[in-house]
Amino acid sequence: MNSDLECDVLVVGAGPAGSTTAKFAAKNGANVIMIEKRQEIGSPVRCGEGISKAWLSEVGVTPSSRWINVEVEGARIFSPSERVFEINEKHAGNEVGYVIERDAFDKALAIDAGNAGTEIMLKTHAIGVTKENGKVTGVKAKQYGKEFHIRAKLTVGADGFESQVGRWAGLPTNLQVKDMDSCIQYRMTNVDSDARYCDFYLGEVAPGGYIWVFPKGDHLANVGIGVQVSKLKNPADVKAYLDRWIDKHPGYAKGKKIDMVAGAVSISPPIKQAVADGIMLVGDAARMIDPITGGGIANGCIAGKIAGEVAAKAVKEDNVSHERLMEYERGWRARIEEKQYRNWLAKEKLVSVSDEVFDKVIDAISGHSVEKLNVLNILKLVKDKYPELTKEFEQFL
Amino acid sequence: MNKKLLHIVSKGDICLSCGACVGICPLDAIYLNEWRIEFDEAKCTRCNICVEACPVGAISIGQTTCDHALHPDLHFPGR
Repeated sequence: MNSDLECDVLVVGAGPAGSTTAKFAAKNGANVIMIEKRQEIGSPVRCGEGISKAWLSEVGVTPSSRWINVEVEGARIFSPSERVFEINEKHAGNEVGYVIERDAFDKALAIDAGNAGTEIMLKTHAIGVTKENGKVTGVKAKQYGKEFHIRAKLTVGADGFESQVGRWAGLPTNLQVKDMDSCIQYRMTNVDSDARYCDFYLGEVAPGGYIWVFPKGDHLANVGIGVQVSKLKNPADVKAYLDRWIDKHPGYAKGKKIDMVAGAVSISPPIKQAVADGIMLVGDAARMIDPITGGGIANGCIAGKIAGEVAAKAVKEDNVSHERLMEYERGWRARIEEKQYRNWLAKEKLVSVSDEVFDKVIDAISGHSVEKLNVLNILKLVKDKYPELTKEFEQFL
Repeated sequence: MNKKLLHIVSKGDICLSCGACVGICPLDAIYLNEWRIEFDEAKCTRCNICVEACPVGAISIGQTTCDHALHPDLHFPGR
């Protein structure tokens, strides 16, 4: 049934980054195929489902009640002894704004890609890339048990954390265990979450990560944990950490679990190279996740837009060389890299902070207006209240 | 111990298909086939990184008499 196919741009993976890339490549005149290994885009969900708002217009996404569950006012950061620091939505970074139905969101983005002219193929796995003279020329794919070749002028790896496309193409996507957070989440009903806030619990409750409670409305919430497994005595304890936390919080212990998902995110510095001859990587596949929040949707879509636009131009010019694709490499770095690197540095510091220090810092800044809290002001407040702590952070002064 | 006797065993009823092992494997020896984790014996060097990365302890490396790459326990329906 499947004979070999040809296209200008082949996108592997129909997550947010892939669909955004496909949309902008197709909009700009490229003939695009997007393949997705699952039979249903966006499902099953493997995500906390919190996103910020600011970037949506940048990638041409209009907020829709089809995928927004709850619009939150802000985030609350809980220190280990559960002192609270409140941040309003504008300052909460990548993770706060809307709590979404991720499967509906992914579908909405795929619909945009489809409406722009992208050919979408479901249940289609990439099983390897093909190369000619070192240049990627498409992928070997498998659908309904049949193997075939999709020949593409340009291939885009948007295949997520477990990306194989990058590896097959020889791009440096390898991670160490310490560069990864493992996440487990329950969707729970009958819980006392506050629909105004996304909550984050820091410290030893989640070594190297945090516990989150993202409200889904009507006493429904996503209650999850992300931890650096390399920080646990027994890496298999991730679920035990989350269960223990839930047990200690009566407002959640009474909840009923209605689903459970797991996933992994990279918490690494930006990768060295996301393009090579005939290939680009976007999103989680390119390790574009914010190392502090573990959020990848915003960065993936922002990079996807740049990737799609550059892809369309490059195939039109019939030049998909590494040099030509540097326009994408420079574009995503200009937009994302500095913050990712800075947040990685901050994350490296945060994961070494003891519960006692976390408590003091949150105590020192709580009650202060977040608008005035830049890093320097935070340090001044901490210094006033706990002078002995300042040396811990003097590298940031 | 003869390395050839080593074999990765993943317990399908524990595995959550999160993909942590797939993403961390430096040798592209593990992949998600639909919701089934599969290993490529020929590529695996038993470096143990997947065992360290698995958040639910579903992977272990040990001796087995099973002589095919896909352990029967690996097959599970997923969602």
